[in-house]
Amino acid sequence: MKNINDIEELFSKSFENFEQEVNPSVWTNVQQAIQTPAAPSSAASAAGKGIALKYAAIAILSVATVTGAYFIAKEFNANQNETQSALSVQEEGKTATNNKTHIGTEPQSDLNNNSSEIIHHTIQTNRTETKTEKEINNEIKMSANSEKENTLTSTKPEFVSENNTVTAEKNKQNAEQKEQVKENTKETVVVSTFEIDAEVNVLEDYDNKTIAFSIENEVEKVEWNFGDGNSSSLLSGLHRYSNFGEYVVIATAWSKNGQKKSIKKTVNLQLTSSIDFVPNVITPNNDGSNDVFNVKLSNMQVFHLIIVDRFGVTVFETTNTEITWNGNDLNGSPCKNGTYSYVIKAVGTDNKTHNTNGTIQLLR
Amino acid sequence: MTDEQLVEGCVKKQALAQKTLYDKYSRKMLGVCLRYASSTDEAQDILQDGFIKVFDKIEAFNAKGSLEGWIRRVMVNTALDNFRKNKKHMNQTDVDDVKYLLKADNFVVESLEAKALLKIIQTLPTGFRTVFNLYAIEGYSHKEIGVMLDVSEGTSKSQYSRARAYIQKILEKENITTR
Repeated sequence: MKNINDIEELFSKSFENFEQEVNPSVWTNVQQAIQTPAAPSSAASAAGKGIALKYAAIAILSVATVTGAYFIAKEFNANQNETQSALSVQEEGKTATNNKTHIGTEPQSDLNNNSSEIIHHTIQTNRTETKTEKEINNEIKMSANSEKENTLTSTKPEFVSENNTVTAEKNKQNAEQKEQVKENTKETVVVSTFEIDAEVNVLEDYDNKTIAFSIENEVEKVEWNFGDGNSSSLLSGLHRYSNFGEYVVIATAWSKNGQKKSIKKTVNLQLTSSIDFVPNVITPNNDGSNDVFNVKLSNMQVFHLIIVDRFGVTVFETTNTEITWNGNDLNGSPCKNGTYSYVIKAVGTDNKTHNTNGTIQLLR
Repeated sequence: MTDEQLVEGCVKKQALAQKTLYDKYSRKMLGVCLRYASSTDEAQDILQDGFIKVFDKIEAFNAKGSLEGWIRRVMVNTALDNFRKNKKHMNQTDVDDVKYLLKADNFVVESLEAKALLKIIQTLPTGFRTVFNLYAIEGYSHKEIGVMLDVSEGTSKSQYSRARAYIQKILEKENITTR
């Protein structure tokens, strides 16, 4: 026999290098959790928002710059046209120099050719400005590059005079791209009405307190409110309640376009009661097996067991689920071998009644 | 890979480093979690949450201390989070229940190995188990435990002495029956 006076030492030494094999599913879950941040922390999402806002700001700025630039360009264009019509007999070379003197802010010599496009573009950019922030956000993500390019090219005057055609060409392309993007965005906004469906199931074969929850649709982000003060931002997972009862689970999901939808589900957590096992034989000879009549129950609040012999004389009676019959009668003397009958009346925590009776063989 | 390289890799979110670190410590940490849980499933849940935290917060690891110690603390804290969530267990068991619990006579203890001791620990009520782990094995003081579990120092002490008495009884019983 070991010296057990020092429990602390015994335990700390025994557990010092204690290891156990881990179920591989744990790693799978860990890996999933760390690869796809399905649960964005509030800080992370705040940062995300910040970035998005920044992009939006840049976009608005660049849109403004572009618009401004084009307004100027348009004026120049008009001026130029005037000058040209006034001095109709002007040499081409002179026009060129004329152009150069005007240049400094904007591509110009090709403006004549592109004027219609530019006007178109201006209108478009104006429209963009009136869009809601959300739409801009969406659009910007996709067209941020082209916008940036746009700004860059139109605010670098020193290169403009030489690469005039190229820049204008680019602008034209950008405008087209942007139009495409806009069409795309519009389509997605119109076509996809954002719907969500959540599934919440009580895991009954577990402990009746755990629910499996999942979002069935593709969503950008989801927040679960379990109705017990806990929440989660996992797309799917398990949640264990600490108490039974009825809970309203609310899932709030956001689409990629920032649309928000909520769905409510009610869960009712309750233990199911049952009589799991009643022995049909007992052998009270202290050999360690079947020495007592031990009824196995789940979640009973009321329990009443009576055992009678062949003559109907009660040999055992209890209302305590923990007390088992050891084969002795009410006076404590051992009962004879033979057949005994039992009656069990029980009410479960779910208010179900369980009444059953049967016979037991007693063998010593 | 050394621990330093592992940490560096994990900070950079390299999958290989993460997996290596996990493989290196998961078995041992499950050993820790098992002591705080009442079942292997619960322990693996704690382990899983713990490792997610480890990878999430790896930047916070201060290279001066031992990596194992740090991961271990994360695991213990995760177990305590789990415990706090079910705080009501703390004062649930009174002395009378201990008598009843002793009825659990299905330990098959051939020798006092960790696995056998673990069985005993796992049958302890959650409050007892947590305090016993923190004091006897992790070596925290009652004062610290009180702060960690948000209970008074006295509660920690009394829980511990009850847990200890309970364990002692089981051990005595086992030694008698196995002799």
